[in-house]
Amino acid sequence: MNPVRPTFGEFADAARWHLATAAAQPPSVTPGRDASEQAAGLARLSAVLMHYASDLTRTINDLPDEHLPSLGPWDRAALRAHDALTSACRALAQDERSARAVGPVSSPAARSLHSAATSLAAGRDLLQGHFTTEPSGARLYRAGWSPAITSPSVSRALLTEVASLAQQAAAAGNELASKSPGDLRADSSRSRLSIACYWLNQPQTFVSAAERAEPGGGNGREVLHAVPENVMPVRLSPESARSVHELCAAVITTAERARAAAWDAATAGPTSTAICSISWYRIAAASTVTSHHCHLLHSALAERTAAEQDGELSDVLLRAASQADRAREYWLDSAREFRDIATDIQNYVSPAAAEATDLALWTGKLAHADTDWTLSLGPGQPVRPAADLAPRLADVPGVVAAVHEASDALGMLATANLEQARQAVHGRRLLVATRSLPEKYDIPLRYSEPPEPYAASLIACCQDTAQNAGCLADKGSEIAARVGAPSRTLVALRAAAREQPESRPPADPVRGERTDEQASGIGPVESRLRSLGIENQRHLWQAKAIDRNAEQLVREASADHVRLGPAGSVRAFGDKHSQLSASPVTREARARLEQPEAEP
Amino acid sequence: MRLKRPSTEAGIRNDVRTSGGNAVGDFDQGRVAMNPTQPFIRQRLEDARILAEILAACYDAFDEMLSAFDRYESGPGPFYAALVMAGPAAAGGRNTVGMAPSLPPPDRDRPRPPEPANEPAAQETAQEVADAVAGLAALAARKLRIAATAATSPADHSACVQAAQYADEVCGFMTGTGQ
Repeated sequence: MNPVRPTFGEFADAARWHLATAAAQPPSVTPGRDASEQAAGLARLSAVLMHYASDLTRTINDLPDEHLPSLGPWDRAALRAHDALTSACRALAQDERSARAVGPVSSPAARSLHSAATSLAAGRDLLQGHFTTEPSGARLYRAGWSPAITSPSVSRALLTEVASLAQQAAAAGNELASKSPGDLRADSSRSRLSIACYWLNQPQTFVSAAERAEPGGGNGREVLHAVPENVMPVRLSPESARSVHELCAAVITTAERARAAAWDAATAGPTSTAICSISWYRIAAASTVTSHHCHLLHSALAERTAAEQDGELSDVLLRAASQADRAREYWLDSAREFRDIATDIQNYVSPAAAEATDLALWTGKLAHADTDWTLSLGPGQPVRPAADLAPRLADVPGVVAAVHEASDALGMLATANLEQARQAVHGRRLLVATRSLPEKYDIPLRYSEPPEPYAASLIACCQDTAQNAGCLADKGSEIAARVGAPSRTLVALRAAAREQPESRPPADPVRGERTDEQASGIGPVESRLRSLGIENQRHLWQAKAIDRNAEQLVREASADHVRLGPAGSVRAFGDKHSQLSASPVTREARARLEQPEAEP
Repeated sequence: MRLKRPSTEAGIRNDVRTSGGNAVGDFDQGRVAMNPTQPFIRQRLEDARILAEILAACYDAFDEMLSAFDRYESGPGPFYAALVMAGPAAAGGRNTVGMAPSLPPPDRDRPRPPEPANEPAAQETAQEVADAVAGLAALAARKLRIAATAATSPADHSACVQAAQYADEVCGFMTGTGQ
């Protein structure tokens, strides 16, 4: 089975543990050297925390000064926290430089501080792994977790976490400073420690103020702590799971792989070689089968819970079973649409299609009594008895989680098919065999572009399927939340992701049409240069960068518009420093300090 | 609300379908109407000798496999995963043959398969559907491999080889040796 991937929460918890260990260390026997090492450790920790704050303020930092006073309480808190942490870094800058020059650390407390910094740096890398940065500086989503990580609720949770860790670091620093008996070198380090600890305490104050002004962060903390390392789990061999528990784990792993593949598939452009009608058909066929298995599993769970006199839950499960059956019919309808069309690229099995097939296989093994069940067996195979699926009532949440994860993956696969079909329609890559057309179409070619209603029918069918697959995922969420299944994090994840505005350019709901420039990935400035016949790559690259920055600006502005409301952007502005900054540090100084942290 | 597209053979098939049955365990109860054109298509495939004939017959054979799946899915039979999963392979085979340069244009004047009579059609079970499709797919694969050796153009050769692989995949699902 797959090793469990680390999550952000584990790194944050490890950092807390190291900070607690640092504070609990006995008084130093070599005060001068130890105080210096501890200050260096705290300096490194402050730098990491400052980088977290930089990530949270990266979009705000680029705003013109006069726009800053209109920020909401949480954005203000993030800016102020960033300034305070920058000041803490400045106070300890000398110690950090000396720490880089000096070799091994001998003070146990300092070692704990360094370990805390390392844990937090790893946690930040984990979060950053969900994004990619273009040469133009635009940060792009890389995975399904990305929209949730940048959502307001998770951003608040991250700021709260940073402030809390900074406060704990300050407490540890104060504790260490109070224990060290004095000598001249220790006095100097202690003084800097005290200043840094003052600044490290500040973010918690700002967060508390923001919390009072705008309380409630939803499930942000739960989602933040659950963010996993952005690595595709290993594909499982069909023999690797036999028991129900192992099969549930296999379904969850495969669903995760399917979601990742679907995310990539959904972002394919109109000229992508990943667009292939047979792959869509494979996804639709496999998802038809998976939906049927979800129906069987929900029905079995309904029977199991009914036997435990939990009639209400049993009814919910029965409704989910019937939604799975409805989703199966829509998927089958989709498959029939894909059967009758072709694309310019054939004979390509996309990763999403391969994962969808695996998902059908694993859900089938879970739903059927025979663990050697395969997709090529005939109908009428015995279904796994409810008592075998969940021998104890406590086993129900595990199975619910597996079905929920599979349903959620189906929703993403449906969206991927819809997005690719839209791109294919717009890229004029759909084909239909002329021999399958009625005789009134006298076309001398073997394949031609399909008549208009074909494309409209295809897109409408994909939309219906996506909608119904989404309904099935929602039912799964409802049940997971009800029984406290491990997959309930998905519910919070989806809720957080929904806080984000649409990350893709708006498209026509039926045809999915975008402008030619959007569809080809060429922005207006680059398009203008090309229309002038300019082929200089440097100029074209610059034009592309301008276009991407403009697009990013529009996205961020619309995000702010949604968050702040229309009034936020027209309010009168004052001096930002008088209103925002509790710190004397200027932006220039902050920019200097925000150089990437050097690893020891 | 779905938009209706123009009436094609496939479209007509879609229009007359009903929602698929999903009963579990009634393997023998789900009988579907047998397609009277299937023996005709099989005979045509067996009789095909030259590349163009084989390609045209294989195109119709893959199309017939898809029709057989559709008839079963539209009927009252229990859910049969392998029939659903074999659909993309059959469509892939049909589309690949459709791209072969030596595939002749559709001959609107060629003899048509017999029209179904008014009397009730013969019924076949899921197992009979699977057996019939497996036989057709195995024959198509064999003929396509023969055609591949005779193909002079690389595009024809490649289309025959790939379509034969698709036919193997269909056969695997129907005989229980697939995924």
